[in-house]
Amino acid sequence: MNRHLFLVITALVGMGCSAGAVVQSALPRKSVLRVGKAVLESERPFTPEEEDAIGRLVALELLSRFPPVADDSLQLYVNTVLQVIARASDRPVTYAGYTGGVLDTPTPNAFSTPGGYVFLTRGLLNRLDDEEELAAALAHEVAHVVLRHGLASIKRAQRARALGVLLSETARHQDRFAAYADAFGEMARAITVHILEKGWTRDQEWDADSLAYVYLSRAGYDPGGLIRLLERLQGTGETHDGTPSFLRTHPDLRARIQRLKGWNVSRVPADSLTKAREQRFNRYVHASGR
Amino acid sequence: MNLWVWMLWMLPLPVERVALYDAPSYFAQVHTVLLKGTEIQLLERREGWVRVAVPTLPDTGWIPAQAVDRPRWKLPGATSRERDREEAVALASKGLQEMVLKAEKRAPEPARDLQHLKQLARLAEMRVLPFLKAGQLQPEGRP
Repeated sequence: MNRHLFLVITALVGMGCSAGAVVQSALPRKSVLRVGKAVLESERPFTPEEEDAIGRLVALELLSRFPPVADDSLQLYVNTVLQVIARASDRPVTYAGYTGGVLDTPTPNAFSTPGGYVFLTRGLLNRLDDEEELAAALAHEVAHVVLRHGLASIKRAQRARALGVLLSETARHQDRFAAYADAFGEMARAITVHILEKGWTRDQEWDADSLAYVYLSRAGYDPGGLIRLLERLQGTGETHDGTPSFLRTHPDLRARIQRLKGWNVSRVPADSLTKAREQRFNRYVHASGR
Repeated sequence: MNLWVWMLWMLPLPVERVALYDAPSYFAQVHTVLLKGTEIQLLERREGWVRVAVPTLPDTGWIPAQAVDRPRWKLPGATSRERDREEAVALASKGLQEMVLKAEKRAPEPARDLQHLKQLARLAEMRVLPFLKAGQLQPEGRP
């Protein structure tokens, strides 16, 4: 409780003169309380709808930079593997369901946005050897969604400001939610920058690897596919076509591979890849002329 | 009140959409997808799943319990301010929907692409079981 009181006081002081001027001009006491409530509210988790809205905005931004590969059978195949992994995850259901896509850029990389939008690049697909490695790339991204890493990059102050606007009594009803939406738009832009430029932290990557390993095993895939995938991507360097390299957005590959190799919890044997899976992977990914 | 009586009431589904499975597992067969506002009757609960009857469907099915359990947004120290909080969440939802629509209007091509990918993803959801079978995949908990 003391912590919350501290947060309210800090926010009220922190919001400083600009907020103070508005507060003093009309309904001072009530408005001050509402701003305080907004700060408290900023500690609540995002609602599924809020998370999906942010995720969709980030997905739109990614698609405006890198359009999807125009091959429905490939997109459907990748989406089906994604649905298998999602069902084996700790968060099988999101507000609007998981959606996957293959982006048409030669740089190998993978991205996920809040709410369950998961993207791989054509460059990454081209480097994969089999369905286990594809499932591994998707499982790693699903783990970021499950762990809500994208939302974690939103600073508390941003949320508090957005909710302060929403709860403000000085604006008209219509203006309030428009302003709130604008603030959320800013958050979505921040996440896009985070995904494309900063990438995840070492701890976030390790957590996502750990969960991916479990999800692959639960789904019936050999989780060793994740180790093979990371080994394959060690050789990819920086590119100059505007797409961030995998190494920049997914740090510490060597250490992650070593940790995964020491972790043997799979219930699926390493030689579990069937001819049928090999054939369909070749049919959709390798033999489609990419 | 008898637990069964308590469970047997009609309620509109509060979530946007949810798949209706024939067993309490995400790897079970999907009967159909229930849309927001569908009237359902709760019959039984089992480990995070609820068996439901839908008046317009002949068979019962299972949906994840989280689809019917009212979400509780924990607001520190604000139990008496429930109404304000809900109003905020409702306002937020309305604002966010408008924002996304505006963003989609500003970028019609990416919006179309995303919509298309979502359609493929929903189609993929319905193909999971044959896909598992064809690939001889044995997920944990598959009925």
